[in-house]
Amino acid sequence: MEEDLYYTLIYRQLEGEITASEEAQLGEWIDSSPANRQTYNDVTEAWTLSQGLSAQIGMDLDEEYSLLEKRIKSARSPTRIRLYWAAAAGFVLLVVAGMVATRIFGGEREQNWVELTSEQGNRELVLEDQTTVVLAEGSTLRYPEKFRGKDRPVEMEGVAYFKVAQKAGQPFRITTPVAEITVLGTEFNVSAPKGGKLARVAVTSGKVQLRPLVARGDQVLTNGTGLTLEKGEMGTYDRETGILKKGIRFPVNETAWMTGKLTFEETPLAQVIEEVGQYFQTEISLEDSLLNRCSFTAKFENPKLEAVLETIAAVFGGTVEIINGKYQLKGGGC
Amino acid sequence: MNRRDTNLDQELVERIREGDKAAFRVLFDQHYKTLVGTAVNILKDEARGKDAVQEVFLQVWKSRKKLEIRTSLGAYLKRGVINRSLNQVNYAKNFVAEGQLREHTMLTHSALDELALQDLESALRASLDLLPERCRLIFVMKRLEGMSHKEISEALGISPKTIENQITKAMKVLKEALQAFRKKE
Repeated sequence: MEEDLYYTLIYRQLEGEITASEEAQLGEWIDSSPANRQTYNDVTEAWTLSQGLSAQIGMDLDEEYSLLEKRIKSARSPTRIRLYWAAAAGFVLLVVAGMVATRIFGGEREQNWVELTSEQGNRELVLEDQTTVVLAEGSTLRYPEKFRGKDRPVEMEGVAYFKVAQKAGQPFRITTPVAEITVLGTEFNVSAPKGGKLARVAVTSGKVQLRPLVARGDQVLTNGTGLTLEKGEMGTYDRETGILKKGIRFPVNETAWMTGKLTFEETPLAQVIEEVGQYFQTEISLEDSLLNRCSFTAKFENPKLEAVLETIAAVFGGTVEIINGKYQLKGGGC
Repeated sequence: MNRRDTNLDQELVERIREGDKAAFRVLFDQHYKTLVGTAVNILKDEARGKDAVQEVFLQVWKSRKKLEIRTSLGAYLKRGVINRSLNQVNYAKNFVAEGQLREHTMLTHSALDELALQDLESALRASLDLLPERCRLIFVMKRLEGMSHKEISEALGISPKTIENQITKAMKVLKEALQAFRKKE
């Protein structure tokens, strides 16, 4: 557009970078019509006003400075880690600065250990040996920065999915509060609830060894050879009863917390309710014992609790109620 | 900047280099608010703006032993904040996508009507937000941050000719916002 040229000339004039011939050209254009003169005046006025458009942010400098001091303090630790996890579902991630503990593990020389807790949502991380760990919300993993010894030790509480990198002659060892799991290169899910008495391992591929831990004086030792689990198998150790057992059927929803997929195939409703409750970390009860005998088949992806419960209720002609903050399935039958 | 300021800056730099927290606080008090303004001008977001400025101060403190100022402390910090903010904007990516997509967007009448409901200053500020991101950034750097064409072209990796074109475009939009505001009055 021809007019654009004059905007450029006005800008050059305002910047004091206009040539004599350009200045003459601009003057001619301004004089040629009142509309042009108006445009010229408005452009220069808008330009003058625009300088004052800078953002004005009110703030308390003392408060801002104390934030900076906190930042400086947390940056001081030499082994501070910052891990970012791209959440597939797009929820907000809280970055947890690693707490560093130096300790001697199994007679190996001192190493820097890092402790990580997934405060919000699942958290995926890759260890030094390229082992991938997906840590469920609220779970904690402690691991050395480098695996230097005869094996690769980590400690965990909560729920995590491990995809262990193959490394001949350096087995991967996971210590939970009640049991120890040794692997050579495989994928599996570990569930060892915080403060709980249970350790559960479900193996997706490869071979895993699950061994109970016992306390001897102030030492913690593994007890016996434990259980060898292969693909599709699940092992459970219950410290309360001392029972170490192998499950026959692979629990299809064991990794639901990570995949976001809940699958039920002719599953007894009581089990459905338990697994749904586990997935959403909430308590659900079945009011009618008749419903107990029903079985349920459905697949959910990234489901919402209400949607799942309403689906179940719809299938069996029941209703969903919230009593004292707890969900209850009522009525209906099959 | 006069000689007295230069000397003060030099003294501050020396004290900060030696790890003097009080001197660091003086630096903070002198520049923080202005720098947050700069970061917010670029990022259009107060929280992210503050974060960028805090990170710059953190870097200054962390590498204080190597701190060396050739211009002034204010200019040094401002450059840090602008670079950091631009990194956050990830302008290169925005530029390609938005530049192609919104290059020819002009103010619509309804947008102008909306602007006219506010006071003149807010109306002009809001009109800036209607600009394509690249155009807005260039204008902000030039007019609000007083950067030269050379500085802008180095920071954004674009030609001086592009800068002139983009500023001209922004001026046109600002003028339209001003006229729309007048019409309502």
